[in-house]
Amino acid sequence: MSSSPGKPPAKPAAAHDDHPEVSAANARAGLWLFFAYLALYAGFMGLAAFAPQTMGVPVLAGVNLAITYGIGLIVGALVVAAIYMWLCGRNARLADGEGRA
Amino acid sequence: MIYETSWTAISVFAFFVAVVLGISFYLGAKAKSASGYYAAHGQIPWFVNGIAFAGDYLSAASFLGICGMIAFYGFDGFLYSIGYLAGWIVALLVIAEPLKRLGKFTFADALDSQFNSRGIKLAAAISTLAVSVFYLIPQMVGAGALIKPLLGMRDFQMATFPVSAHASGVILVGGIVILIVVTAGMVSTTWVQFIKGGLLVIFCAILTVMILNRGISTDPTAKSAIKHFPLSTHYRVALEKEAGDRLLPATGPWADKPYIRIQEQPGPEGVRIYRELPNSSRQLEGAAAWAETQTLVEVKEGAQSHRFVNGLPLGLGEGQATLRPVGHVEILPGGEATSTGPLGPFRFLATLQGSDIVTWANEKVVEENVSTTIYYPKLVKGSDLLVPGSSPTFAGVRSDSFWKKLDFLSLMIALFGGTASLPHILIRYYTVKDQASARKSTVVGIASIGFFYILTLYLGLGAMTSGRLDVTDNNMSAPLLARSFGELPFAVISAIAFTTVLGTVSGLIMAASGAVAHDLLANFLRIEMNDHTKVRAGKITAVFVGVIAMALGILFQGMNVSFLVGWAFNVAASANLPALVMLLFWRGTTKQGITAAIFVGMITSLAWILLSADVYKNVYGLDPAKAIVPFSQPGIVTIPLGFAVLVIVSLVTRRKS
Repeated sequence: MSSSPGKPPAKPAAAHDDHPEVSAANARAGLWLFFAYLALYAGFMGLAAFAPQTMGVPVLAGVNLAITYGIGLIVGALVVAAIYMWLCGRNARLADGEGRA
Repeated sequence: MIYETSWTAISVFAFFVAVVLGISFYLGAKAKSASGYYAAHGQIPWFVNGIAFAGDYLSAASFLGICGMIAFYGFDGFLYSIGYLAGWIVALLVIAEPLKRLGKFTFADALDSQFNSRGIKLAAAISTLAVSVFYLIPQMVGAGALIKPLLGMRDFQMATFPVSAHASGVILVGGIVILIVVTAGMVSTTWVQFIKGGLLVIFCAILTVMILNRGISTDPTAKSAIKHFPLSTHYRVALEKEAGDRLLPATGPWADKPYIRIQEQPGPEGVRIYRELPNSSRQLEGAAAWAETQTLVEVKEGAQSHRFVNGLPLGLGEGQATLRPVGHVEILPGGEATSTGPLGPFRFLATLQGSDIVTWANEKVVEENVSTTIYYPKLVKGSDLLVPGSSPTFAGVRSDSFWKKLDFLSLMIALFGGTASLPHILIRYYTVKDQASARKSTVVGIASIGFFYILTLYLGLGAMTSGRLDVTDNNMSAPLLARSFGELPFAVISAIAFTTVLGTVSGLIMAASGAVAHDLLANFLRIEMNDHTKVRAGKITAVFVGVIAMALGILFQGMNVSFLVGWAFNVAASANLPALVMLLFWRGTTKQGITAAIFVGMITSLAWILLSADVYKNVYGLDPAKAIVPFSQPGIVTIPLGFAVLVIVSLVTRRKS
């Protein structure tokens, strides 16, 4: 860790994310993924609140729907986060490519 | 329960605290400037920051509260795991990057970046303070619960002033944390979070492997010196025949209660109590089984009171007794086997689903001068424990009551929106250098936090069937589970849990002190401060906030810490989420709109909580049926209210200008 007391934080050399087009593209990707995840989460809440008995049905290796769906939401969050990272990286590379052309 | 002092635990614990304090002092000496104190110069590497997210976020509530709730009630505790993690998606996809672009030190900076409004600064600073203090309560309650068995603390008298073991735990934690924050600031807080976050996830993974390797057995304490309280069932006819004229009549407060009481020894403490065990697969020809219970009897004689457990005086000495540990599988699937041997992660869950499990609940019966708390076993099907609605908190989802279903939905919405509105999480976006780093560290955070939350399911269920649960305090389940593997795992897990409390509390106090020094004093009151005085103001605030948190931690003793954190999420989401989201996504937002939304969201959600049945029962000691609000989680009402207020006020004020 390199801390330098007193000095303001240094600006990064290549800040693609500050490019308005890149950050707009990132924000769009973020919102799409957010709504996709929200639908998954809402599905879980709806089942738990209005059809709790279906949550007891075994679905995966004898484990019931409640646990499978719950773990699925946790793993799903990581998958969504990974997709988002990949999309942001691609947006930055695209902008970079256009900048050079 | 009361606990023996464990020297192994104390040594490991002292070592951990010494290391944490050492790091704080060392790094604290380096951070002199305000940007160093509040935002670690924006120079924390993204990976370290990501694990530090986990350290900040995986508080005592995650670790102690969720494990405890799963251990006592099954799946419902896991709902918190799911909601807490899902909230990170909002943080990553919606809030993180724009916030990083806008802000400098605090969340108020970001909200205020386009307006330069004193109203916003005031509102944001107060909401940061309110949320931080609310979030500090469960951490302090957790600390008090944790320190009791770790250091074998007892209640004692200081002059004429009684000090409970819980209070001494809270005061000890509060003291150490204030020391850390005052000496160090954000650099060392971050590194403490990093170490603690990493250790917590690694050791919980090890513990999970040990649980799976041990498998499930119907007599989990067979090879141990500490014996659990086994299920002992009888038939009414046999009990009554054995009791003869020692059978006590069901009169007064005992009328219409499912108990059989037998006077074994003279005195109110000498009564053995049996309770009907419904739904038991151990029924014969339709006759209900009756199970032996544990009792805690408090007898008042004038100003003095005496406590007895299972007929003997409370204590650890000869001729004394303490409540015995509980929680085990009574019947494994198939009904024949007594032990499964090592199990895979799916097999473990499927086996529990097919088992009959003994869980414990309690009821207090008060007569003149004598109060009896009965801890009684329940035989529950695993398939029933592993679906939503198995705990008193969420039992509403299985009822037909619309309000109770709303209560559940409200909490899940607050957890979803709350994470991205927590000030101590938001300030962590200012410790990395740019948006790409903010993004990367969030993904690292999600990976480690998500992995940990999956482990909580195994830790909780492992504790449920370990035969080691403390019937009086579910917050202790995870450390007691570790103790079933030996003193060393117990010591390590307790020490990590304790540093967990330290880490989260110091993060929260940092956020609160930033809000006061930077937002309130410097920006709202426009007090001229140089770097040095700004840091000193923050440190003085840290002491004040720490002391308030200690007092509240003592007051809220005994409530499940995860439940308390749920409330903090409600307040955070109601106060901050509408302002954050609308600022980022609606051009029509005005400064008056933001200020009004923060105040309305914060005040209505706080008021709602203070008027709810749970606070009536646990804090004021009033009849919960008299509570004013229909359910206890405000989010579903107050979050939309915040949005509505923001939109209306913005439209009105925009037209004027």
